[in-house]
Amino acid sequence: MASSDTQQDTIRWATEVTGDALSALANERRRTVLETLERRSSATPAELATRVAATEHDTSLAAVPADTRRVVERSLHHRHLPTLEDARLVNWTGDTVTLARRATVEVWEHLQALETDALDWNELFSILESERCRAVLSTLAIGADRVERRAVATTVASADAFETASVDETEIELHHALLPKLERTDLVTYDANAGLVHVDGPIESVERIVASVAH
Amino acid sequence: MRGYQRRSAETPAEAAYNAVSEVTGCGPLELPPIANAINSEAMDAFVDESRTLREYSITFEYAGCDVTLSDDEVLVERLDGAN
Repeated sequence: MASSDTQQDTIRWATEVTGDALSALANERRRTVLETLERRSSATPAELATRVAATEHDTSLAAVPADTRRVVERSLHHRHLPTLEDARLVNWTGDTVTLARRATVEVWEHLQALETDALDWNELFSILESERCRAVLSTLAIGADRVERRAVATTVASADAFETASVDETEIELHHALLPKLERTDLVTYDANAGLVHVDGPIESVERIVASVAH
Repeated sequence: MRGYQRRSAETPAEAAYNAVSEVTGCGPLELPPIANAINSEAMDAFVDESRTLREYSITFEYAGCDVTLSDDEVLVERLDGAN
């Protein structure tokens, strides 16, 4: 059984993470940028571009062609660094990029432990951007490997401080939208006929990843 | 063919399964998850952003029905011809 402390943690996990940070992580190149910064305290955008290109092509720094580096550097400048900065995951001032929070290191420890398996991380982070989906996952992270849809609905509805939806409405939302969506991550299987949710994946690890990008 | 007026509090996907629920007599939880029949978030976003379009409709098959969604109306046609 979940203690009241666990219940508190669950609610924090679901609500205090910024959707911005999670949607920023839903991109492999941006995850590579963060991973690169974790191993170095700071880098110029040009250095980052070289290292990111080397990681993406699985080659040495010296072997990265100049035009490849330029293409990557442009994408960092125009797209990825502004996104990471808006999500407050990196600081970018002039010619220096640094990690905004050491917590990001934890993300990498967990990700590296899990990246080998079949989870689609772009899909996972874009799904975790939804607070409702995080509420469902945190409910399922408590431990049982099989949970009734009705029980999930009861917990999710009661954890919502604004009480925007009744248990019945939440159960319908789970059935038609949230559970089919979460099923795409391979973390859960939803038996729509029996109204049962089976937990298949490492939800606790995902929980730690999400908690580590919380403010 | 039955018409269903979408209420302002309903998303297009909610209106679609509620309309099919009315026509078939199956409760919303007895119908299959609509997100498995169509990308319902993409559909909701499209309808949301298409208010200025003059005319459009989206038709998809769901729970043994052809469901046609336009700005604020859902048409449901049972494929077994029962209605």
